[in-house]
Amino acid sequence: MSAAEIEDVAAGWLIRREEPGWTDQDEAEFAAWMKRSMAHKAAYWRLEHGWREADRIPALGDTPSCVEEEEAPGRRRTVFALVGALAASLVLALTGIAMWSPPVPTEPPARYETARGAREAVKLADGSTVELNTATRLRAASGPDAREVWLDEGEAFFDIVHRPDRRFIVHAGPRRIVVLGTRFSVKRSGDDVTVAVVSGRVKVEDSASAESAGAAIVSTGDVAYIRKQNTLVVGSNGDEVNAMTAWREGLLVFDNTPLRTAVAEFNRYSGKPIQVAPDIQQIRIGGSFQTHNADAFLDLLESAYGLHVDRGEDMIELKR
Amino acid sequence: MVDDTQLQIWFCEEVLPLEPSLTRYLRKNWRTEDDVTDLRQDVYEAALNGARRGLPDRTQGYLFTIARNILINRAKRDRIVSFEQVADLESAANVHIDIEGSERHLAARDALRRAQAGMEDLPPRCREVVRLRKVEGMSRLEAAEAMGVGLDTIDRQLRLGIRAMADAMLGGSGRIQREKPQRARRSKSQ
Repeated sequence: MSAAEIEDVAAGWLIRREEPGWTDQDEAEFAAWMKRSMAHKAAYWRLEHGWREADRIPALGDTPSCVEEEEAPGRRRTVFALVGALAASLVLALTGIAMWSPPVPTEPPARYETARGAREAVKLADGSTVELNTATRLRAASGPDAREVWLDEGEAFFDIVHRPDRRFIVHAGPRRIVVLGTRFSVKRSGDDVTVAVVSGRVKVEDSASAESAGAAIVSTGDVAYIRKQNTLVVGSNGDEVNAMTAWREGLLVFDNTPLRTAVAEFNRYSGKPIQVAPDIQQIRIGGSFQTHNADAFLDLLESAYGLHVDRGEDMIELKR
Repeated sequence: MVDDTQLQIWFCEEVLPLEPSLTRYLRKNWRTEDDVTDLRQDVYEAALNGARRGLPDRTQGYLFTIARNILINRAKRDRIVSFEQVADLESAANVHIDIEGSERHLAARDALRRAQAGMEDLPPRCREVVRLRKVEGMSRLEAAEAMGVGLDTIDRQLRLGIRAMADAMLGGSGRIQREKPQRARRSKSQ
């Protein structure tokens, strides 16, 4: 069999494995095919890897403006900006047309809220579950075509029941996340949105846009960081996703994390904020800690780094 | 024995980033362009079989030694290259690897450039099927409905599209490759 023929069969497996309706029987047949020859494995792994690389790209097509282009020459940038403005006005026009159709009446959205330090799992009407982390507010509504959640603040983990006829959409400020697969976490702080996918795939798009222009597909093990108009998808390494969803186990996981960032994480859970002196903010720390046990974290900093902890009435100061 | 998960990680992170260099090396040292894909596949197969007994310390040297041996064996078997030419094969140690192409993870910007170039090179229908899959997240059935064509068409176009896009992302030409390449005896390029 030629390389091209093997590759074609491998592509067939790759397509079917991505789709709903993949059974244990299918998986067994696939495993048998892979086992038959190292050439099969080489072809499949290569194809899967290359195809996934293409996954991480925001906007396969039209809007280069949403990609980080820090060193882009000014002239090119101007062209992009022009194209962007044209695209934006086109989108506005399209939205205008779309808005003529009467809105579909739906039930008022259900509201869920957690206090600082609390964590709660709720079951939605369709059987999907949402786990709310500390200080989180969200609304959920179910319509005939789509199931929608608005994450107003905080962080939530979604385990979605697959319904091909009804899309599941999470609105997070400047972005909306369209669910293609199943389990993922969304964190929102103002307009900063972070999406970590545990399994399956989601699509992150611009809330202001009616089309899929500027959309990024985020796959298993990937994390999308959205800051303003920029979307950066990094991944293939499940460690980061595990760390980002450790709050579900009541844990905070740090790996080479600046002290300032780590402390900001602890502060999300406690009413008594920790303040870090400027000269030690960049110290790198690692390890996993219980979200509610900032004391253990502080003790470690005291003993391992020789830092001084000053426990006041309303806040804790951390200095050298 | 190295288990499959380790083997796959090694293959994707250490071997595949070398693909542009490997392809260049094969193309330079083999006179028939159409054989390059098959030769590369043989190199990967042999590299994986060897690595199953223990991952090599230096992947690059390991991979190009295998490539060289495969070229020599193939040349002897086909009796199409004189022995002098075989002896001329670049030694594996001297292969030039460009730094950009061998980075483990593509910078987001390079990945975007490759993806866009890959998409542009696809024939229109194939591109649309790939777009529906990647950007809209459609299944084959949904794509068939959206485009008003049969499932067979979607399936065929998607297989071609995935292969071309994977090739583009790995630094190749992203050219569509049909199952039965024509056996034209072109002389090697360059």
